Amino acid sequence: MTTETFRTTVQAMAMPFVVELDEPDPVEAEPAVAAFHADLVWADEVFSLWKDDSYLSAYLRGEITLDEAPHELREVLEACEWYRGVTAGGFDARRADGTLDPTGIVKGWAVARASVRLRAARASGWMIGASGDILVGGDRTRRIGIADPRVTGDPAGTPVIDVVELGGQFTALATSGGAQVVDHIWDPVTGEVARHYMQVSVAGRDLVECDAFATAIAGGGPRIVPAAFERGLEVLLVTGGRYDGAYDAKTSPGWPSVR
Amino acid sequence: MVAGGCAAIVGAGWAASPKELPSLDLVAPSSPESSAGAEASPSASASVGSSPSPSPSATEALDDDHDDDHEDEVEIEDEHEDGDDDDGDDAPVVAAPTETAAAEPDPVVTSAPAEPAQPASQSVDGPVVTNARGEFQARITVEGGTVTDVQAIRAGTQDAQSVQINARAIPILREEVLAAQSWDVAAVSGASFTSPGFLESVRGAFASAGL
Repeated sequence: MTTETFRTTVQAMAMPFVVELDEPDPVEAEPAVAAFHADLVWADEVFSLWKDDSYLSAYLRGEITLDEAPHELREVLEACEWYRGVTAGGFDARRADGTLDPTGIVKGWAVARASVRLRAARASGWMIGASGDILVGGDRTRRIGIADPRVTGDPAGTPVIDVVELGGQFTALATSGGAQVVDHIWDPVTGEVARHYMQVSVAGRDLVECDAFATAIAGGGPRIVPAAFERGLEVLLVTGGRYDGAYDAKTSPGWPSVR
Repeated sequence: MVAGGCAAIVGAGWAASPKELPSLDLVAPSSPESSAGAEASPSASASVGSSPSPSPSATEALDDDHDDDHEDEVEIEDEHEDGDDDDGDDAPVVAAPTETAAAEPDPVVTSAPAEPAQPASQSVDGPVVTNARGEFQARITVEGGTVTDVQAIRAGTQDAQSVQINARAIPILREEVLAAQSWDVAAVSGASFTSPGFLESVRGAFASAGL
């Protein structure tokens, strides 16, 4: 049986990660997913701020240096700084006391890193649904919905406001804002609750980049959008809801909608 | 004197019905069919800010409101936001500010005079409000005394650079109207929907930059 799609869900970082493998090697599929899962769990152990014994927690307490931690810690912290630059300050992981909280990109970074493990399954195509962020690979396209901003909880199976095609020019998709995190993102410049957009979706080829820009635009507003264009990303910005339940939105010219 | 009187009216409005937009009786209603008619009838319209020769007294009164009632306006926006969370049916009326209205604790939105007595749909422009972040102007649509839409006509910008950036980026964005529908999709992209801890972390990452 190699014509089926193998679909499973693993839990890590207190989030569900959906893995879809098209026509995988029947023997290798489960071990590949297990290796993927193990990578995510490892990343959580290194980067979790809710575990006192994570490397990041120890580093922030000053108990270890970056050289004593896995090199990935330095890599992610440097990535945060890099994204702060390319998003024109919209993505900013620095806390007021000068330490870094990289949690905003850890999920995307960990998924992109762990996705390599899925190669062992020799699937013709694959998809990872990482709690709202999507990464695909392989030879076929997939239709991915954009969640209704008013939906709380897992949006799977709920009506969506747009459908995009991933798998060709675009392989990664990240969304920020919406009912989930309203009031949880701050504008780094004004310090106020960010209500620039109800929801921001970013499509590109790098999940970490999409994630960082989605968060940056949600937090920093329109001034961040040109920086996303310069990186070749496409955006869908939900600007407001209408009284009849529809939404006003703006899309960039290359937004891969299939409506 | 005019300004003081106006502020008093607004205050009474809040006390009586804090969720309603204040009604400014001293501003004469514009004609019911005027949907954007700021320039057409500057003296009678509430669109004092955008009109070339606004009524001086109305302008002064409205601008004064922004200062006096700033805090109240922030609160009322929050109330609408909460309503949106609780019940998606009625809240979008006001709870759906565009990006610029949302970015500000926007004095423009709530101080734009609503005319509850107007029978038909009517658009009313608020005054242009200038602050450190630029010029802001709201347009509200009133139907039968209920505000059915709030738009931002002018989007404030923070500095010359962002003026340039916005001028470059915003025009190439395409306007869309999207409605939630059932589609056959492999997955749905939304904001992270997991543990409160993760949300707390997003807060942590951004709350701090002084953040």
